[in-house]
Amino acid sequence: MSRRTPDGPPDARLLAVSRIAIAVLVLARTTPLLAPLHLSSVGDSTTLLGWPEPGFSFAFLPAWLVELLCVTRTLGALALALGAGAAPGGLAVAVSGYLVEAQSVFGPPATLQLLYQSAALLGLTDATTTLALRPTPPRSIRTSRLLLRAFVASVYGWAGLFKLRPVWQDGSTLEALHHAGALSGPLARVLLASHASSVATAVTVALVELGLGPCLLWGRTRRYALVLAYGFHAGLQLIASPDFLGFAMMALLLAFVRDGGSDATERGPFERPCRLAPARPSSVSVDSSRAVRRESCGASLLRSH
Amino acid sequence: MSVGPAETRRWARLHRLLLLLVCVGIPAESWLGDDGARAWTMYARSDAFRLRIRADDGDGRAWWIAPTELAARASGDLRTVLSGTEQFQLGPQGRTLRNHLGALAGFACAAAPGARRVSLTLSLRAREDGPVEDVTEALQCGAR
Repeated sequence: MSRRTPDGPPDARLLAVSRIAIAVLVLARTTPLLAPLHLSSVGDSTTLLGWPEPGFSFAFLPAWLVELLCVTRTLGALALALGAGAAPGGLAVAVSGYLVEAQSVFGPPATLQLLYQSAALLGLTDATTTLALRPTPPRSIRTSRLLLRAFVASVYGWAGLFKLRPVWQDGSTLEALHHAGALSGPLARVLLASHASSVATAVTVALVELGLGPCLLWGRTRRYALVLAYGFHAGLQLIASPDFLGFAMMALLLAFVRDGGSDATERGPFERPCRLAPARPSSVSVDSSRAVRRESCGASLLRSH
Repeated sequence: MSVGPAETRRWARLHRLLLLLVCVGIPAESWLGDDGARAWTMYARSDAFRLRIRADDGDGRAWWIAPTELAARASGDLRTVLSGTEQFQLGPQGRTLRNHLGALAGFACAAAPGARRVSLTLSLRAREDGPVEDVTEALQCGAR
């Protein structure tokens, strides 16, 4: 039987948790909420991130418009977190966030790109069907989850692909980051103690990132890949403190966590989905194995939408 | 209450389009079109970079301007990035600065009263013991 929550489809609950977590991270990263903690990634600013300041800049939009975009981004994140107008809220976060960041030639750092794109995607999926002030009707849980899973896998894939360059593979980048103090702590000292260990770490990181995507997408390896992914991000946060990137990825990884029993979305990406069986006669089928198969597919489809 | 099958199909189509856009389109465009800033390259894209700014008054008197001095007159990320670049700094911003040396030269002119000409040299180094690549941009301040 399909397990359906009273206020949303099965399996959407963790997507909703992911939506709320991403929205909260956007608020934490772009507003002065965390300024009293003096975190290096957030700074001590008492204004919204990107708020116009006096001085030379490469900004091409008027200051009043940038201010309006900063406020829009914050309101969008609130809407996304509360689940009231989450779709326009998520899009507002992404569009206004990117426009604000475009006022700097350096563009948004990876963390903000991840948060903005995730906000837009989550707002347009079934992550808005539950744990929301104004839940939307379930639309397509299967492709909602597919979209978020593919997004996470692609982040790992592209990151790993770039690390195939010689300058990464020979450990140079890691050593430089270590000497510059960007990688610190006891774990970093052990992993980057010598040139040989730096090379080994660099190659391992690239292999882990290249392997995580396919292993997360494939149902049989998913749970092991999930453990590896969470461990990987915990390690990175300890060594490199890469802004809020690890926390954002951990929130998005919830799309891979099983929440509602084995269903169609638990299949690997290359496995064929169940075909909709013809309408079953009201009488009991004489072919019991066939009847069981039909029942199974019917249940999967029910859970998928 | 869920939506009808036609609407479900529309949403599914939208999700697949978004998948292509965010998983392939945006990163691939960034990878091929610029330096991979939107292709999840993150800290792997870090190079060492250093900026030197020289000004002269046209009468044979020349002086150096510290990038940190410029940083004090800049805003936002530019202030953070310029600060301390008298010495080699590590990050992905060096390659971006290279594309904006002309505008930075104009900024240096404005920040150096009496300068008739400024010359900016950005040094980029991929490896700590590797070769340094210098890019220089000069600007006649009066010509602005």
